[in-house]
Amino acid sequence: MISGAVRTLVGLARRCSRQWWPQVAALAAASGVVTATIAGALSVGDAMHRGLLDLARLRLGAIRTVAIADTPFRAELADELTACLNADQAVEATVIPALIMEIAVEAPPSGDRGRVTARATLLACDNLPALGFAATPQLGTDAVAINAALAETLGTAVGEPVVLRVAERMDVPADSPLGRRTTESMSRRLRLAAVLPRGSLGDFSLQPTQVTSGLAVTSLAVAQAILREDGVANALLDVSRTGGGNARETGARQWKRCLAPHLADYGLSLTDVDGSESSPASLRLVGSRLVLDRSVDRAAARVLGPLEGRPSLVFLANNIQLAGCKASIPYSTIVGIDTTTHPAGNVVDDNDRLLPLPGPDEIIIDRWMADDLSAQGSPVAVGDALEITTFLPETLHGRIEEVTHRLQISGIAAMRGAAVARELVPEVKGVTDEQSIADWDPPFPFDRTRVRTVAPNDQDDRYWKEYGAAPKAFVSLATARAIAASRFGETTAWHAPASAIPHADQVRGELAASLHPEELGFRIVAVSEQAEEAARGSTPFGGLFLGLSLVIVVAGLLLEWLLFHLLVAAHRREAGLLVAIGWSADRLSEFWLWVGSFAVLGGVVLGMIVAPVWSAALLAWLGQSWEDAVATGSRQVFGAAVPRMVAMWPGMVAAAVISLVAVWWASRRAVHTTPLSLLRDEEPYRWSEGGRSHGVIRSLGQLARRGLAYRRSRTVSVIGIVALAEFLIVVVSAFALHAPDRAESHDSPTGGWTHIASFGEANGIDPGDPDVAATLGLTDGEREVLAACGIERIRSNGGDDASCTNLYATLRPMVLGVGPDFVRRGGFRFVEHVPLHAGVINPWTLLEHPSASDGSIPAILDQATAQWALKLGGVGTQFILPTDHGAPSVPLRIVGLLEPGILQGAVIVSEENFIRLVPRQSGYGMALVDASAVSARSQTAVPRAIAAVWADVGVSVESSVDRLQRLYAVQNTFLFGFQMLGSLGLLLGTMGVAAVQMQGVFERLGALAVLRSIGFTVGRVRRLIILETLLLVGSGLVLGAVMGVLVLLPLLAVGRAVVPWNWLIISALLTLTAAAGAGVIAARGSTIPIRPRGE
Amino acid sequence: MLEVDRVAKQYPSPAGPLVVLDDISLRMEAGQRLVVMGPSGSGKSTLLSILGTLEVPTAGHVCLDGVDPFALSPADRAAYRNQRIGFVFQEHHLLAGCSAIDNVVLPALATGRVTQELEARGLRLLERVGLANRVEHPTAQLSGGERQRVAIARALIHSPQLILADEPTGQLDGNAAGAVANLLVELTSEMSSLLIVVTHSVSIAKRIAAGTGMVRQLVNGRLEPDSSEVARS
Repeated sequence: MISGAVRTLVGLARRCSRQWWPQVAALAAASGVVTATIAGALSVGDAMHRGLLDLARLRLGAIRTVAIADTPFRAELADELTACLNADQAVEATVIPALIMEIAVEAPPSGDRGRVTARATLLACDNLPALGFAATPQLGTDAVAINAALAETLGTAVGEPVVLRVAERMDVPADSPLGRRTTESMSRRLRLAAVLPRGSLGDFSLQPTQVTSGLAVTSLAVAQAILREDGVANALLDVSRTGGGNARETGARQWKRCLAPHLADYGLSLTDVDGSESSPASLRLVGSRLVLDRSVDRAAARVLGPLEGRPSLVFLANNIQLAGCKASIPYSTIVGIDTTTHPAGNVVDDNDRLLPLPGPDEIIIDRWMADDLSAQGSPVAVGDALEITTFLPETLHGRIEEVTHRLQISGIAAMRGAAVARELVPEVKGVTDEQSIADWDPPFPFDRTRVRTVAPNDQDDRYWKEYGAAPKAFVSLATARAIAASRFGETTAWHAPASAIPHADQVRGELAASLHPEELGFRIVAVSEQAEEAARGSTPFGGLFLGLSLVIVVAGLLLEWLLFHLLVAAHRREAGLLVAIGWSADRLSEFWLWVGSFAVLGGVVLGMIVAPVWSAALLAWLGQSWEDAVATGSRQVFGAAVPRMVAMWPGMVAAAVISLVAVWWASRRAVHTTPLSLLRDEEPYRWSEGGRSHGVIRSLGQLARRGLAYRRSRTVSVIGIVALAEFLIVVVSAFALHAPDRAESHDSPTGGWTHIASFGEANGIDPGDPDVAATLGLTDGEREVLAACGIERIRSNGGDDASCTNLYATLRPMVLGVGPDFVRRGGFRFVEHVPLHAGVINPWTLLEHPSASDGSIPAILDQATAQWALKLGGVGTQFILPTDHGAPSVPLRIVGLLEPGILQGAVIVSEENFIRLVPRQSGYGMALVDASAVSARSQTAVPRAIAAVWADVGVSVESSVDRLQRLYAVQNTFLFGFQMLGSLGLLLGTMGVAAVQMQGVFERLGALAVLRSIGFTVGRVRRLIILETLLLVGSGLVLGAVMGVLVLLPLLAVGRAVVPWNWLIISALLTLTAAAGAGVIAARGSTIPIRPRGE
Repeated sequence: MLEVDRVAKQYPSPAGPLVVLDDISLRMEAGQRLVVMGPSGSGKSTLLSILGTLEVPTAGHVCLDGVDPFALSPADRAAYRNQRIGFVFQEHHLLAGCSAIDNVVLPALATGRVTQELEARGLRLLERVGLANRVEHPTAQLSGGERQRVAIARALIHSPQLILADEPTGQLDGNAAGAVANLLVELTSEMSSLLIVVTHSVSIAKRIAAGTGMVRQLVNGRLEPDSSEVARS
């Protein structure tokens, strides 16, 4: 056997491939482009996923699972949990207590810098090294560390003072009358001990986010001191060294079993109440929220019910007035009970006879009230009617409203037993703890002028001093609940006779064990798993870039097809020989396929080398674009992970397969030429085509046009590539978004709102309420600015931002609840909505439509959020949002889709429905501000004024235009990417033109030689070839542009798209220039003989 | 035995069918040689292409050893051509980048791989055509005469019943042309193959037709009676 000799078809194909290397290399390059494009795009997705995951993990350190509570609990709970977990699992568990909350950090004025305040997260923890971050600081009792992002915002440096301001905790829901609508803050001046750099504890966040927000770190003791609550924490951080896998999976479950808060950890107390002459000793269960959660109520019914425990509901009557008379009594408590033999004391008349429980519209008043009314000139008797004015149990769109009930007196209770039982009324800070009613500082509107506190008319104050907050009247529990029950609960206390409870601690334990932490504000989150889930990303970037690159892939494939044809055309005679010596069409096709395969596979290898570079370039460009225009810190995600080969394999295989299919297809077509034609290296002349009458050729241009008809399929392919690329460029460019310079138009993507304020803590602060505004400590200038602003507070569940600026997958979407004022104001642009009722033009009113028969809640979303981030679909789609534990699952139905605007990333429902969805949530999480009426001179003061209103709860203020620009930057970044990739496709198309033209020259050498032989100069023949090329590309450009504009017509008509003239002209000029270059290459690439080949 | 019965070939044209071959009949026994001469455009190459199954006749039949190749499927016809017919073209049509032996055994790759036996046969053929010392030379390094001898060896690799040579010496000088013609005659005689040669050269026609060979003129698509004597004179 002769070494190196060709003995197989594959060997021959290999040998020929080496021999024909220029064409094979060109084909390989095209295949490489396809491979690099597909593999690179997939690699972008993989790198993004890993970047997101790495960053989310980096932010967590060693933290695996956390439990966070709405209200602080005993820090010892961490030790108790650790002990339980250790008893449960082989590995050593470590649970660290911490306080994590949103705060405001202030850098006092220093030098040229004025006071700067920024919103930040406070992490207070005594065991920072255990959190697993690099270089954790040692912090003393007067020290704070902040991260670089916060330091940059504040413009402060190590050694300088900073003030940490924490909003005073409000146990009572802001949406109830006794909830505070103003917030005070507690602050402490600390020394900045360290600035935490990136890659350290400074990156801490329990939420997966690519944006590093401000972070302040103190010892637990410092935070407890600021809160004025010793020994508390609100978060438990699991930093156990788990074995991963199953251990992690079971973590959250073990936590749920081991986490056993005491009653105090829920803000509940079951305390002894000493007995008196008329009241036996009892135990009382009350909560810091005033109203007991329904789950507590159910547990109390189970545990205390059998022990003769009774529920009660106390509410405040702002006024009790004898119907038809002036006589009235202000600010009295009324209690609802289900029996007059109450553990707190019986309700008896003056003769010590037990009074019957009042009926549905009845009330028992106490002797003091009866006497007082009588003293006011209106003696009362059983059967008389009283008008009782109370607050609605829940605020109405943030405002407290009053309502009057009419009840008939069914009895008069003696001032003993329940009538003097102060324990029936839970303690309310600023009310029950005051010595005199004159000192009341209640959260609700309080008219001091109505309270009789000055002798001799000091009846109310005397009552207060003698009986405190003891109820002045009794109604049935059902009546009380009809008047005062709310979504927060329907019971204010449970009382049980001490005699029935010999071991109170045991009952406390049973009660605590009956409660489910997750129903009472504890959220157990397996944060490491959450990070992995969120790192899937909001957008499948691999798929997105594959889609964006499709034009290159298609162009590359067509180029492969054309180049393969060029290869075949250049070696027609060899093919003819093979046919002549007996090769069948299949065998020849197989041969070509092998030749093509070598080129393709070589290209795949080449592509795999280029793909990581391509991918890295895309990531670098994306990172830079996002960093500059969308969100600082994004570069960390895009640049965190280098492209991996393992992610590119599928792309490589896919590219190889589609390239081989393209080559296979071309190879099948390549053998359909007659052997003689191949041998003679000429195209078969078809009279049927050539014989058509085209008229006499009168110019070089007509000759060029006739030349294009020579191989129609090839011409169409090239025109197709160019037209496709141009079409995409035109269509995509038309959707470039530009934020409006002025945000005042209601019809704009800002909805006419000029600023957005986001709060660290949901709150009830209403700057529109004069009473509240008076307490905010605003300057005259700020008041003036705010008075000119329209402010709409919006409820928020504090969920994940599902806008396109968030790279992480949305696990718990943000839900916004908008009030009737917002709905009436309308604004924004709708892409689509369900039909409106006749005469209605404001689609926002759809939010207030009654729920559908299936109970679904109407919702409006930004179209991009619905389709991409949440993957919900269009108008009419129903979906269910993940809810907090204990909240009922309510389906939502999309009734409208908005154009991209400042509300992108949220599910918007009416405020009323928001409360149904998120019943535990109280207060408002953000506000939209319309400062268009503020004078131009004062515009710069608007953000400062807004910040001043909500400074105590931590606020960030952003202009709507800035937000729009960030949102638009995302879309424009992708559009730009598409434009660039489309332009690359155009370039490839132009290369295809060169290939086609070169092929055409090869195939028409005879015809071109004839031209020379009849007197055409070489230059004129070359001009002909260049003209053909320009015609080819020009046709594609015109076709693509016209098709693009036609598709856009409907949108152009309504102003939702703009013809991108700049791009059109630039891309056309560049492409035609490249085409001319391709023509020159084709014209010079082959020697045109002076006369045709002889017979 | 080759039987050609009333073969005709026409091409469509705007002016009506263009008749290239008209009523061609021929009968040749194994070992016989035929030289076809005629003016340009007379249809010589078309006749050779039809006999070599590279073109399909418009009418008539061709039969080689009892097999009508045009009754076969395209694949079977290719196999027929591969096994029974050897082509020698005016241009050698050798694959560039391949060696002489690679080109000689190339027909074997039409259906499978090159066996050692076939390779040995190829080597013998190359030796026989005087290229024993050029076996592994790339064809680009061979002279015109050497390349045509490689092409002859390739045509004979499967010992075909019919060898078709279209101006086999057209691009060679006098000495080389004579050597190639002699080689064709010798080898086809050794294999008892039918040899049909198209040429313009009277001297080549004489060499080929020497002995039992025939020379026939093709004029206006019609084969004239045997003109061997004219050629020999």
